[in-house]
Formats: sequence, structure tokens, C-alpha cells
Amino acid sequence: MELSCDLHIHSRFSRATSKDLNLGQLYQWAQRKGIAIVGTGDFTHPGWREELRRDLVAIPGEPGFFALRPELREALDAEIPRACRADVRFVLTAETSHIYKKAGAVRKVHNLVLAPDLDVVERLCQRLVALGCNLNADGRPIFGLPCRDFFEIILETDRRACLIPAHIWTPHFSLFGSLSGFDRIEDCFADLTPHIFALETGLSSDPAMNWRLSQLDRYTLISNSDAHSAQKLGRELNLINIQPSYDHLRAALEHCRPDEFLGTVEFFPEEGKYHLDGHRACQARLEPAERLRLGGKCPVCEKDVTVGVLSRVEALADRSAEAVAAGARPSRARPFTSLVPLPEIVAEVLGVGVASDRVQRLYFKLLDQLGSDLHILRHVEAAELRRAGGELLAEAVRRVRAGALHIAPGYDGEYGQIRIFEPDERTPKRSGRDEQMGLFA
Amino acid sequence: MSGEAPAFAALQGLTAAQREAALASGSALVVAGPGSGKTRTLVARLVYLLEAGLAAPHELCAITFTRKAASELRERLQRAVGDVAQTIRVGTFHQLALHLRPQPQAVRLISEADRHDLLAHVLRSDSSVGSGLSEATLRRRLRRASQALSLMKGRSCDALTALGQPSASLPTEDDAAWLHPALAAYQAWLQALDLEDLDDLLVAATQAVRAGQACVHYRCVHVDEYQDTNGVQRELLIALAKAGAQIFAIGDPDQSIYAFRGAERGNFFAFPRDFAGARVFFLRDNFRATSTLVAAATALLSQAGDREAFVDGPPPQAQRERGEPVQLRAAASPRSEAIAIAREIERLLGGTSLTSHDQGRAASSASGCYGFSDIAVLTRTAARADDVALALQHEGIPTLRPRKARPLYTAESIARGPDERAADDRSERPPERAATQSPFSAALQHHAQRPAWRADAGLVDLDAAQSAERSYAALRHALTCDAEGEIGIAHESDEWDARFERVAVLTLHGAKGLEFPVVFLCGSEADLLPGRAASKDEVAEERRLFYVGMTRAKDRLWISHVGPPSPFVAALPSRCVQTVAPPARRAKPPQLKLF
Ligand SMILES: [Zn+2]
Ligand SMILES: [Zn+2]
Repeated sequence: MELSCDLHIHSRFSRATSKDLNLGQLYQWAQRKGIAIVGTGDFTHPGWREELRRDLVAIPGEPGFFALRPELREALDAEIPRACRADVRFVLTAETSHIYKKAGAVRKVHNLVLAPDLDVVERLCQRLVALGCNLNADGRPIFGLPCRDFFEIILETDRRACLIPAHIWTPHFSLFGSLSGFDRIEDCFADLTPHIFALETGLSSDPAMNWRLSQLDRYTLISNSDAHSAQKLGRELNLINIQPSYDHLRAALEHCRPDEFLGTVEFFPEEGKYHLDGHRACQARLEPAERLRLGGKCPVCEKDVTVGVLSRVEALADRSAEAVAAGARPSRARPFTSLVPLPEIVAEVLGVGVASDRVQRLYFKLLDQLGSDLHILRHVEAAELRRAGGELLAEAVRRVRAGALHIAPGYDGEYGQIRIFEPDERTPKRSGRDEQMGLFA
Repeated sequence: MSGEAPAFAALQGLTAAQREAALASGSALVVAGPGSGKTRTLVARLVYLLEAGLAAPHELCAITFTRKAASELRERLQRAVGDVAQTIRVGTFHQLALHLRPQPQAVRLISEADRHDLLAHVLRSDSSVGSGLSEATLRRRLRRASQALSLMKGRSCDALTALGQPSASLPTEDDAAWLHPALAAYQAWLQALDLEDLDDLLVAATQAVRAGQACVHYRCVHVDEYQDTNGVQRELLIALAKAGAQIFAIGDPDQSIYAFRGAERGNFFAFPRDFAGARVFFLRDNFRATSTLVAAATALLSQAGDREAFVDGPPPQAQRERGEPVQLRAAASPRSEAIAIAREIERLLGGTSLTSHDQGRAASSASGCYGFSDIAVLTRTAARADDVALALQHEGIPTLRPRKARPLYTAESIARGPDERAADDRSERPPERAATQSPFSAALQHHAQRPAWRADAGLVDLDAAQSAERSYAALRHALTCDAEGEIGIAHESDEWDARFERVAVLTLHGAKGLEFPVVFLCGSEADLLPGRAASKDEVAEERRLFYVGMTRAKDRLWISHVGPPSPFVAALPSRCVQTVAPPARRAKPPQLKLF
């Protein structure tokens, strides 16, 4: 059974998250988005943990997976289009932020933690508190504790728990971050490096970029949404084929067998916030070569620019992009699909902002008629898309699937701008083409 | 002697002044300002004595103020001379005192908890207080008695005999009516039980050295932080000198901050008289702080004018670049002060979350060069430190607020007002003993006989009552004896775990001897610094305390206050200070939209 799986999300107990981000919201949006297994996020936070205990029940026969209590599900299910309804499994996850000095520089690294059950979570949190860590202030707690030592604590607590370095290329907060990280995984995890088996690639990089580093060949490359609101769930995710249980999930991530870890769904990396280099305040977006030519300075204000993911990959890569394009890839390489979030496609089709009511109306209409977001993006055929959303939508989805779009790449915290149509392509022709008019009515 | 000096590896890399001090022959007093390479000089001196064959390792001894300082010194010696370092006696005065005793294994120390129980027992059984004491009164008296006891025993080796003479003056003026008999009763119990407390340990060691009974003979004794020694410690050193030791004392009279605990700054000035032929050396280069910070701290002290001329020496010489000015910031409340500090910490780290980047609290390209453990927040009182630590935690910043179960009588509370004592009761009371009575205090209560205090007796004569001895023996059995390891007075800085990086939140007293790239002096308001201090001496001590706080900083110093600032702030030259206006209210981050 192919299961879509988003392991890195946050609750409302994390800073800068949506205030209504509770288990009910996650349950509903997982169905709308088409996600079968969703991380709880934030299990280190006592308040969130209490809700997990209160609102989740263990799924019989699927150890380590949890379901929302049946009595809570009823009212929520009524709001979910029939075409989207599906089982939602929760798995215990958290993200931690580590800020510490190593080898003379300040390192800031985020890690994703998976736990097999609530008992392990409880014991881990108790140990962290006993060591003086503060878990109350933020669902993604900040520790002045080196990643290696934290990992040791996790392994001592339970060997089945796992640690996955999060969004490994983000400049400010990651393992390889240009402003925060290391050049080699060993420099971060030292003697415990062999116990790391998966890496999260983050929004601004895709597996192909990561294949350029032979030091990553032995890791499973996973993708998650890092959603701070339920609507962003599943914008990147993993496709796995397992008997549902924590141990099988972990095994799929650890061994990356082609029949178990099927691949990932990705952002176009250019859409990520840190793909290129640049300086946001000056709207200076720079290709890596351009940054090198300018000596790393902003052409407007001459301050240091933020070095993005592409440059950082270039700096650490030992395979050329051409070699990867020609087919050079590690044995763990799995297929991946690059997609644009469906609401953004709808917004492009309607020619209005993504937050507008019209986008929401059409988006929900599509879910009603065609099924989940992920299903629409990956599987629904052109004819059906045309019937539910018009010719322009069918064409937009076709172009996204083919990768035939323009992206002004993201840089220095600014998301990339997607453009599927040229302005004249979208304007409805005056002369007839009635089927399109339904869309704008 | 300095002609042959370059041959010694120990002296390599020292400045001329450091080298001169390290080479001193005979007793020496080294006046060492903040960041002047005090420990480095001390290590060099010890290594030089070994290299030059002037002393064998077991003839060397170095006394530090805290256990943390001792272990650091030990590590540095280990690096310099290898395993030989383990033969050098390095420790606190209490640890040294134990080793000087003829039979260290036979020394029976009363534990802190039992000391507390014994004092409480003595106070409760005061027959003059008819129906007994209220719990609140008892607690107050306990605290007072505990402090008075330590002060008295720390003043001089002969102070104890004063207890035998009703007219003798005690270290506190009021309440003497109950205090005097209580202390005598406490001491009688100790004698009857054949026990000592930490204060007795030093007195007994001094007496042993004087009597020629010390089992170890040191040729060279080194003392760090000499400005904070008390009367008995000075007497011990004089006794050691008479027994043939050279005394090498290092310290800074401008950093003497423990008068309330019995430290006598006068010891520093008396050194040339106490130790015949002693020479005085000066370490005036400041390698720690930026020149702006050195200038600011120096200006603060120029007000004081309470040093004896001979320690004045040359003025401090800053050895570093100019750096940033001191940031001075007013805050509306302690809470907003803590939040402002939290924001500044975020900036210093180059952002702790993406939110800090989105809201402009970190330059987008800044990686930050400071980690959490490069930063300290210092306060005048423990209560304020607790509050600011809590507020920083609430902002998600990992903090270290050291809290050792400290002996009651090391508390700083004597320097505090009543409202802060209330705060003390919340935060610093030792674990409640009344609830779960120790075997010792239970046994005490069933003991019919009260021992009698005999000031002249080295040992209490127990022959008179065989039965009493048996029952005392039974009582002793209920005691736990803390023989080594934990001997000494716990200090805030003792509790340090380098693996976890955290912002240290310390009292000014607790920051003694430490240094941090970034220091926040929080709560620098007139109410707290100098606070209620009235006498000239008290104000001077508070000023030194502020000086100690300022001189902990290497790169950046931030001073904040709620309400009128401390008058010490006004002493800082305006060219060294930048007043930071509170930031304009930032617009709320945009509401999260559906998509
Ligand atoms: Zn993260
Ligand atoms: Zn710029």
C-alpha cells in the first residue's frame, strides 16, 4: 500500500505558527491534502503532549501509530469532502533547535526526532528537563547542547527513536547551512554519525541537487512540509509502501529499499526561500556565479549577501550537475516528483492572490469533485480536471507536471515566484471559448 | 635572578611584569587587576619553582577561592608539567586545612544539614523563651546565629574563647541576649559530640601549625584572591610563614566583595607588615577587556580613593582594541528589562529562529559570533537573578541559574533588606528538614543532658559521665560525616557543565573570577546598588561589587536599570557610554493567511 507521509510539522505551541493548529485541524487537512501518515510535531512540549495523550488513541495492530479519538472524528469528518476521506495516522515527532559553539564558530542546527511511543517521549523529555533544558517556551525548543550529545541522549533513551537532520541546507539553521552548519556530517555527529541514516532535504533543494555530494550517498533523502499551519501540510512528502507501524516506517527510512521507500514529492527547489543567493532588503537576487563575481557583497548596499542552497551545494559537491543530469546517482536515489501547491496553481489560473476567497472556493470545489490535493496534482486526468476546473486549470496542471513553468527563484528568505502562464495566455479571449467562462463566473 | 630567567620554559610568553612577579624570591604580594593574567602568572610561578628546583612538588601549595578555580588551576598545571601536577596541593582553604591536620582521617565534620538541625535544636530549647519560638522567629534566629557563628569563628583563632566570657563582644550588636548563649550551647554540643564545623577546621589547622603539629610542610604557599581572605585565613598563612613557608599572594583590593562574610580587605594592605621582607608586584595590563571597557571601569574606581598608597602602582593599561561603548538602557519593569535582554541575546547570536530574521532582530547574513555560554547576566541579588532567569527561559533562551544546596552561612543575605529575605525564603532555604526529620535531629531531641561549654578545653573531658559518653556515641552514630570531596563552601560558579551552552545568570558575587565576552548588568538601579548601604565602607564595597561586574566583560557590556540608575553609572565617562533608547513598538507580524 502506498502511503504518503509528512513527518515534520509544528503545533500551535511552536512560535510563529497558526493559533488554531490543533490535532483536529491536522486530521482534517491531512485528508484534504491526501496524507496518510502525519507527524504530531512538537512532542517535547508539555502542553502539546497532554493533548496527544488526551485526543489520540493507539491504532490496534499498528504499534507506534495513533488515530484521533473516534468521538472527535465524527464532527470533523462532516466537513471533509467524501472524495477525500481517508484514515489519518499520527506518528510522534518533534523538531529541536541546537545553538552551540564548535570549532570556534556558532552552529545552529535543527533536527527532527521520531519516537516509537509516548513512554519513550516521556522518558526523553524527563531526561532533557533534568539536564536543564527548557521545553516549555517553544514547541521547537532551543538547546545549547551539541547535536552529537543530544543524539547520544536519544539513543540512550531508546534505540528505536531516530534523529534526522532537518532541512539540511537552510542557511541559518541547518547541518550544512552556509551561516550555521558544517561541511561534513561527521563534523556534527562525530562518533555517532553511523547512526544517522536519513536527511531531510528541505524546500530549497531537491534530491538531484543532493546527489551531487557523494558524502550523502549512504543516506535516505526524505522530504517534509515543515508546516507552520495546517494548510501547508504535505507541500513536500514521502511515499512509502509498508505495513503500517512505527518500526516498519523506521525500517523504510533506514534501509531505503526501493519497494518500501518509493520516493518523494518536492517543491521545485527554485520556489524555496533560500535557493539562490542575495539580499532581500535590497531585492538583490544573485546566481552563484554572480555572487562570486561580486565577492559575496550585495550590489546595492555592499553588505554580505545570504548564501543560498544552490551555492552551498556547489561548494560541497564532488559531482557536476551535468553528471547527475546524465544519470550519475547513488544507489539510494529514488524517483521524485516536483509539484506546485494546488492553491497556487488555482491562484495562477484565476489571476488573483492565493489568499483570495475565489481561490478558496475553487480549491474546495476541486477537492469535492476530484479528491485530495495530492491526488489531483499527481493522478487526475486532464479531461476530469477540465470538467471540474476548466481548460486553463487542466493546462496549468499539465505544465506543472511537465515542469514547464517559469520561476523567479527564492533568495534570502523570499519565496520563489511561480509563473505558469504568460499574461496574454490567461486573458479570456472575447471571441467564444465558452467552456472557459464558467471558470470566471 | 632575572638574568638567568629565559632558560625556563615556564616563563615563556609572560610579560615583563608577569615574569618579574613569577620570579619573586621570598614572600610576595602581587596586585593583579582584572584580566591581567593572574592565573597564568600563578601557574608560571609554580612551574618555575619546579623547573628551577627551588621546591619539590609536594612542597608546593596553591589556595583558591572556589573549587572551580582549583580544578582549573589543576588542569593548567597538568598541561604544563604532566602528572607531577597531582602531587601539588591545590584546593580551597578548607581543603588545605584538612591536609594540615595531624590526622586528617580522624577529623569529624558536621554536615551542613546537621549543623542546621543542631542550631535549630539549640534555639528551640532556649529556656528563656517560655512557650517556645514561632517558626518565623526561629528561622530568623537560625539565619542570624549561623552567620554570627561563622563571622566570629572566621575573625580570629581566639574568637571562640570570647564565648566563655559573658562580657565579650559578639559580632552582632542586637539580640545578643539570646545569641550568646545559643552559640555557646552549639559549641558545647560540637565538643561533646567530638565534631567540628567548617569554621573550626581552619582554626584547628592554624593551631596545629602553630604547635608544630602539622603533618605537611609547605615551602611555598600561593594564595589567590587574597583580598577576600578572613582573619583566620590570614593567621593560618602567618603561621605557615613562621614555619618556613614563602607566601605568594595574588589579588586585587578593588575586587574585595566579601566583607559581609568576614573577608578583611585590610589583610591585603597588611601583607608587607605580616610577612617580613615581602615585595609588592603589579600586573596592570588588561588583556581581557576592550580599552573602552577598561576606561569605564577605571573611572568608576577613581571615585573610591580608599586604597593604601603602596598598592596604587601604575594605572591599568588596556591591551585590546577600542571596541563598543557600554550600552546603557532604562526599562519600564524587570520583565521588559528581561525581554530587552532576550532580544539583544538573539541579535548577538545572529538570530535564534527564523522569526528573528523576519522581524529584523538579526541581520540576514549574520552568523553571529557568540554562543549562549559567551553571555552572562549579572544581578545584585539572588532574587533578581531568579526573576530574570525565569523571564529569559520564557523567551526560550537556555539559561543556567546555578543553585547549589549552599551552606546557610554562605548566603549573601546579611547584605540584604527584609523584602529580599522574604525572597530568600522562597528560593534559598535549604530543603525543609522539619518535615522529614534526620536521625540526628530525632536523636538530639531525646537526649536529656545538655553538654557544658568549656572554652579552655581542647577536648571535652567526658570522664565525669560514662553514660553521657555512651549516649553521645550513639548520637554521633546518627551523623553522616563529609570527609573530603565536598569540603569547602559551595560557590555559584562551582556548578558548571561545559557541554550545555547556556546563558549564565549569576549574582555579582557569584561571577567573581569569571569572564564572559558579553555581560549584562541587570537591575543596576540605585535601590539595589548601593541600596541600603549607609556607611562609607558599605558604599565602597558596593562600588567594588559593581566594578567586579563590569570587569567580567571582555567585548560588550550592557547596563540596564528599572527606575533611577545606580549612582555608580553616573561615574562612567560619557565617551564610554551609549544610552540606548527603547525600540519603537514594532508592528505585529502579519496574520497568517489560509494559504
Ligand atoms: Zn527547522
Ligand atoms: Zn543589500
